[in-house]
Amino acid sequence: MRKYFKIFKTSMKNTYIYPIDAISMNFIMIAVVIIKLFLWKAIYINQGATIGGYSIIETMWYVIIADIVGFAALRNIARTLSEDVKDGSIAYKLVKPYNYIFYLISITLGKKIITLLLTIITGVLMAALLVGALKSFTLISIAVGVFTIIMGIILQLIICLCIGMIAFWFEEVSAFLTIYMRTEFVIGGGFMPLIMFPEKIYNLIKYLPFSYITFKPLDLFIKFDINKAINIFKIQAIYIMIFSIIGFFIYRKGVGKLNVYGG
Amino acid sequence: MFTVVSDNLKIIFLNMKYTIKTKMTFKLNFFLTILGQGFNALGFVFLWYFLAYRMQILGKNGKEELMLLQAVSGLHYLFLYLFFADVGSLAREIINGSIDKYLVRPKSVLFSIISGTNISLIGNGIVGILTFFVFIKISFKNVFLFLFLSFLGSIMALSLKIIMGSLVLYVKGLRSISSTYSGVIDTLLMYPEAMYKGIGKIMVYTIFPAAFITYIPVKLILEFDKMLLFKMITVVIVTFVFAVVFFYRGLKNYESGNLM
Repeated sequence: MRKYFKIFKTSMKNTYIYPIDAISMNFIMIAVVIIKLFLWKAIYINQGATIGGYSIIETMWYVIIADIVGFAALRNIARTLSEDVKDGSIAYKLVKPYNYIFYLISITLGKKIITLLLTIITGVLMAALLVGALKSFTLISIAVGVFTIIMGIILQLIICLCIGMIAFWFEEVSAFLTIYMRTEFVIGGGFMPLIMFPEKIYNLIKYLPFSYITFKPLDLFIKFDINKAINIFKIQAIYIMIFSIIGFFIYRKGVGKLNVYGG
Repeated sequence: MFTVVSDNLKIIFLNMKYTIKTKMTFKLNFFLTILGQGFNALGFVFLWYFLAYRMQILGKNGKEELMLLQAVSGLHYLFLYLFFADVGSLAREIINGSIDKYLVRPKSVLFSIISGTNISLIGNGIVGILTFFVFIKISFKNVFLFLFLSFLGSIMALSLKIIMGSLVLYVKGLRSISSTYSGVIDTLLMYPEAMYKGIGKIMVYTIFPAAFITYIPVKLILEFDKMLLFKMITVVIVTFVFAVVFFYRGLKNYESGNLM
């Protein structure tokens, strides 16, 4: 465990040589949140008190936390894996005394951690100041909500790893990653609560793994219910298991057929 | 003057031609990249399509306006990234002191640095064009305005990126401002103007002038107004000239990184 922490720390130090970069990412987040607040305010003006059971305050909290989750995502893990395959550096990384997948996770997390912390602080402050606290918030609802959000991020990480492993066959995975990211954003609830889609579409997409990454955890965070929490947690665990097994087989097959050129 | 312009255009077109030829060497990757970005743009069209019926604030042309916004935004990306994809790295090139190789060329320094092609944005362009043809009433006037105004929008976006990239020639600490500013503008482009009131509206016409990239083109296609077109052309030309002058003035402060 200690070696992964060292990898994480080194990656963090290398990334944040220019701290201003991390801060500037935060400005984008602030701007995005403000633009979205304008949008939802405009939508609610003519739509009455609730849309899909969400009041304007609940929707704004949802949108802000969805943005934080979006920033927290470790999707770049797929690109790092693909780069390692392309430049051949995977050959010596595979024989080093660490697990390559845990190495990838540590390095990606190290690159992200400070931006992520800043994003969480900024997002929560913006939500509290611009929107105000939600009445439904309790210590338990926040703790369980955050837990399912983390489970969602883990599920997303495993799916991204599976996509990254396509690099063993295609080398370039950007297109697959872009398609996945947009699908997850649109039908996973990255932009708005899925319940706001027309009913037929909502019924079609609500059980897909994408909705257990963003929509379901956030819906739980906003509208807490312990039975709902248990149900979400169970399905998240099942999806995590399914994608871990898929990833395991892809990895074994991919590493087996890996050809690296050069010395 | 004419020779200078034609020389620069030649560089830009040659750059694009050879980038596409190189990328075409790996045909599958080439098409997958375009497909990926096209899908990305399609995702937004899908989202806005469903949001349109909730946005009564836009009035009776709401759906057309939102779809046209996506169409113009997609095509402006195509123009911008087909010819000037490297404008995004202007600030980095300056900070690294690596533009010496362009300084010794007998061609325009600025256009040598910024000309480049990013093929993935072809996907955005294709989705933009398809969105236009599916959702907007087709007429010669509409098609012409769509092409011309998207092109003007791309010149405006280019000018803003040049200004932001050149800022580091004046103040070195502004390393990240270029990408941050572009990030904000890119987000603003896709949201309808009608949702902004008061200070928000003033900002999209001044500090973050996304209005001149997508909002005004959309307005003009839906309801043509000669005066508004004239104002838009004037603002785009003035901003472009200012951007070029701003870069060359700042270039006097450039410090080489001796990377040649």
